[in-house]
Amino acid sequence: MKLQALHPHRRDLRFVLGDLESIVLRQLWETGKPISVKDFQAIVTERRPVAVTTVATTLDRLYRKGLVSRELVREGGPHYLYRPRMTEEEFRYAVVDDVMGALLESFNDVTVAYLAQKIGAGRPEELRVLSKSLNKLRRRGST
Amino acid sequence: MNLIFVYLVFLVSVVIGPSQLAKWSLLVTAVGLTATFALKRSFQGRTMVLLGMLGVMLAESLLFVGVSSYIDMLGRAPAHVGGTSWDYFSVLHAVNLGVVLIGGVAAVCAGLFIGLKKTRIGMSKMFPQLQFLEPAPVHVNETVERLACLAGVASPNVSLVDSGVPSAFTVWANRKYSVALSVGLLESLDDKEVEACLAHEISHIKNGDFTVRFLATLAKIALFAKPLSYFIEPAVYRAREFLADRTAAQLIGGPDSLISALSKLKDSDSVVAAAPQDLMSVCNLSGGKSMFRILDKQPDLTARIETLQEMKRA
Repeated sequence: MKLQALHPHRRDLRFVLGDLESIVLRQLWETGKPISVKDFQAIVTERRPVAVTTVATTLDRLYRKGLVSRELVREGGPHYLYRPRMTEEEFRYAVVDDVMGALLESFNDVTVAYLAQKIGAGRPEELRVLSKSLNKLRRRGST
Repeated sequence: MNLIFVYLVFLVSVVIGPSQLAKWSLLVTAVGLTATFALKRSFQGRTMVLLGMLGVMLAESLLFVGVSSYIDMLGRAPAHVGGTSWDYFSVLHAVNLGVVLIGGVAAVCAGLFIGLKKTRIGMSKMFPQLQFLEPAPVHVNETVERLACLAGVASPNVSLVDSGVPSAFTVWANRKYSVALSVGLLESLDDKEVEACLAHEISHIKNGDFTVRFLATLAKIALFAKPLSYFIEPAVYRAREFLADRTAAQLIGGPDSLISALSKLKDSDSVVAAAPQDLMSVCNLSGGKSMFRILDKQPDLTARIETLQEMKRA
């Protein structure tokens, strides 16, 4: 996955992708099977009217960012069948891995202190998740 | 910036100075611009005027060097011999001579480089960033052959580019014309529209646009110190695009499918062009919406569609 830009003030997929890219990627996850540009445009248009050329270009960009894969089919005129390269879970993990990894590398002490402070601040579930993985780490360290 | 400054100095000094040449060049510019606007719908005529302006500018700079050398030699030589001081005219003359020499040498080098080297390498070497898929689909090959036959030109090579972005372009590679189109173009346009895009490319070959563009670019390089040439060269490129649209519409019997192809391409959000800037492409989506359209080599798609619609009405 190659993320090019982060948009700190936008939420969800749009945090790392453009508007159309987000819509297209989400729809691709929902569709769940390899699909051609023309068929896919028919589905996307139900939500938001877009031209086939726009869908083709957007899918090409997602392909270049490593988020979707495609195969060339020659029967019935050359065309691609697109499919997502990762699940939504994997994508979300990859984004956090990318961002946090960079933060931990560049601003290690501040990032760790920030996390400790933020996560401790009155959210029991988060605390539980954290202490669980801390325990796991400790156990691994002691053996 | 320096060049513009030199040019301004040149312009101002000659206008207030004794030379009639600057007045002459201003006159040429004015006549050329007027003719270009008057020939708004004749793209062939427009190209001729623009190339003519470049020609006159070239002749004028050579003439100026000649005349000023002559004057320098005649009237001012004794002052130099005496070694008194530099005078205004001699400095100007030397600067202009240098500029013309540099421009000439650069244009010759560029001409040799493009003519001898760049056109002898294959497509994949010319565009290392693009993947070419062999062979091109049969029906596309057939369409290209038919259109080439109609246009009366030798049938070019056809190759398929591995890219989802809709695009098509033509290059002179390996001493043969090659038309390339992307998978994205085939999958998002219907057969009629693909035919229209191919007809546009064939029209570039038919109209000899490679030669025209080559000449305009060489003249721009030779006239590198004259700002006007930076506007004329892209204007030539744009005029050829409009002309290719018109020829294409004639080849396929009406502008309708070309209009619909261009409209679809316009719809696709301004996106990274799959092909580099420097070639002839039917739909090299013109990335940014620049304020400096006048410097763009690719005309606005909206303008092209409007021109075709006018042609339909006429």
